[in-house]
Amino acid sequence: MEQNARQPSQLAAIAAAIEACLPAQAAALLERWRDPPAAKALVACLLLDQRAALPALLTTPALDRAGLAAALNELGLASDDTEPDLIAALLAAAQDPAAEVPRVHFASLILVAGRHRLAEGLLLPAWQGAASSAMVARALSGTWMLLGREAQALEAARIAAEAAPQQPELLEHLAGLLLRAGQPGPALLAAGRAIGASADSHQGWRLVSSGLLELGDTAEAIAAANRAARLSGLHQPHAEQIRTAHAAERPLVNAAERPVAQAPLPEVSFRAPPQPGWARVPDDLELPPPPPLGRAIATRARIIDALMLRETRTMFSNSRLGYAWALFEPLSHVLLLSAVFLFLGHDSRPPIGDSMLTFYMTGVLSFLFFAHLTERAMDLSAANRSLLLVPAVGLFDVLAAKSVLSAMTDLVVAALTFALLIVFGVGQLPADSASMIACYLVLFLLAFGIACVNMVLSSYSSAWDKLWPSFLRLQYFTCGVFYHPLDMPEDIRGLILLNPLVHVTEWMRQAYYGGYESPFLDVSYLLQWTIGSLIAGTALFAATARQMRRPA
Amino acid sequence: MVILDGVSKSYRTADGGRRAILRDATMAFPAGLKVGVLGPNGAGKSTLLRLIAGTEPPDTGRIHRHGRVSFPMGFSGTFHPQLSGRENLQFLARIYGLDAAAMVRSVIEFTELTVEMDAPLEHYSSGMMAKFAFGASLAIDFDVYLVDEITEVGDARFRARSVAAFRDRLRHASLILVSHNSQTIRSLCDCCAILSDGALIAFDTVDEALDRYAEMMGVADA
Repeated sequence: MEQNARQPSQLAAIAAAIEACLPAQAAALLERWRDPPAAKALVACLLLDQRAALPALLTTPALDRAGLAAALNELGLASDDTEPDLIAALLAAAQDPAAEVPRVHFASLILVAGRHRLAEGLLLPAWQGAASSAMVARALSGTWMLLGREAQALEAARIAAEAAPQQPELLEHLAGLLLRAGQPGPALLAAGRAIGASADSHQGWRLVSSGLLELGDTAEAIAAANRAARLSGLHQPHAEQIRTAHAAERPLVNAAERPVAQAPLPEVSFRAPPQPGWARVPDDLELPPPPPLGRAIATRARIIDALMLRETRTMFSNSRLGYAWALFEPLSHVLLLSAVFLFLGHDSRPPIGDSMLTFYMTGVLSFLFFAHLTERAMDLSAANRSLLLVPAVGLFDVLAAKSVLSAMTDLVVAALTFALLIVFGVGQLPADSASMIACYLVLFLLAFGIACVNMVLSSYSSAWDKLWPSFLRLQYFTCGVFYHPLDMPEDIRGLILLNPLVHVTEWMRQAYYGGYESPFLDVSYLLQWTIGSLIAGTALFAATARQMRRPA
Repeated sequence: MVILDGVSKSYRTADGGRRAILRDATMAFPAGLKVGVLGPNGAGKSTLLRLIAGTEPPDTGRIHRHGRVSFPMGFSGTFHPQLSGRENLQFLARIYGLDAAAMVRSVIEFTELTVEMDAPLEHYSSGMMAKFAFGASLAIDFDVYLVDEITEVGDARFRARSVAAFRDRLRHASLILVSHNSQTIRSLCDCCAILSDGALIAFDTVDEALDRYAEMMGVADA
């Protein structure tokens, strides 16, 4: 009798140990329990997830409904009207402990009875972290919520929503938890997905409303609340409340439109109302006038400036010797030419001036200026193509930026090289600076026109990328870098003078050497070439810009 | 507002044929409207977006753009990997005529990439890169935002701020969102069009478009 009196407390003690988060003690209590009634042992084993013991207990003849009811009563779980459900759920869960549906069902009934920790204990064996099923995750999320573990609840809700993104209830639950956690942004997103999954998710609209309110978007919050209220009367009070609370913030056109009490407020739509035929192009469409020329030029200049800055920072980034080489390149030509002609035993008196070095230099610098500019323009490599993915940037901007930058680099190098020659006492300042500047200007325009042509041709055939450098090498020998046209036999000289670059070289030397007056320089011939190349370049460019603007 | 005026675009396929993305499409994307464009994979949604952005030319026809049109949101292809985050932002600021210092500040504030701002982008992790690209797109107030699928980047807190900031931007701008996900479209868009087999068809309501799309997909699956 005494033992019997203690027996009722045994199951309760096990439950209490579980609820105190002492599962080891609970298990020990069960182990020490001698001859427990089958029903109570079944409940205890289920609560402690001792699956191996369940089949034997289920087949015990002593197991009956009365015993189960007593066991549930002992735990304070069952009331008269829930008892049949609970017993059925208990048996279903015990019969197939691995199945999620009966387990979650039984756990939810226990949750409803207020024994949150017991429910958690039942659900945890089915919990597999991020791999859990939506049902288990959702049930645990609710349980944890009731236990005040909001972070865990949020995580489980997220897992549930991910496992079954089509179920609006899961998304609504997630949105609710996010709102509680002070994350209105993600809450809005989740609620939006709930509405996306089911257009008449009133709970979704209600949550959108709360989220928007949190973000301070009163007008849209009211609209969403109205929508929720229209979908379900449940949300009428909420809509009512935020309408009155924020009535003052609603813009009113004039006093006459002040809403009368009880009169339904005009709906402020959360979105733009449907606009039938929205995609039709209006017949009376007036295209805005193009921006005034001044502003258009300012915009292009700004973009070219930005491109140049970017190009400057990356031009030599591939090698540290890049800068050094850029400075040393003209000198290397001059030194090599001097060495070669010295070796060939040529007369060391230059055709013009006192020094072979300055004679070569005046030819090399303008040639390199031309060669660099026309070559760099062809390099529309991947990095440059990506520039074109910024819609504001056009191909012409890239070409202009590259050309100007190339020209500026070569001018700086030219200045430094001349300065170096002067320091070593073999050179002097140009005799006619203005003429030299004019020559560089014409050379720039000529090179730019040809660069345009090159850019178009190289975008059509990569063979041009290899052909042009060899063509430049030929130019090196025909443009008078290391000789004077007078040194050539007359018939060859006639051919050489067709090359516009010879005229550039001649112009450079005429500007540099005070007393030299070139017998061959034909500025108007050079200008014809320049204008011709500009027209050909821009025409080709304009005709093909559409095709060239392909991403690589 | 963006207007397609008789725009055609096709690609040469590997077997020598041509695949039409758009056939003589004429359509307006009115100012302030959030337009979703649904289409099965491979219908050319991304190409349509590049056409609208102006980074790819149409074969024939014209595209009129009023206002500042964004590059596809969160797209990082415009950045130079060897330049630092700051330098890349300065470049964008110059291109769009904005105050570079203010733009850098707002991106730092938004992405919290403070120390990393001076490191070359090639050293960024893919997560950092995505944050950076998103922050940069948001720092410029475009009139038309182009979005190629919604991808969520960063942790929950960053996502929250992204959503809030993006919504805020959209309040005064229009949106053209291409996606194959009808949920995304439903949660963000006012109206919807479907791009399929070279035809761009506008529907009066999102629901109509989604129904039609579901029907199409059903046929395609069968």
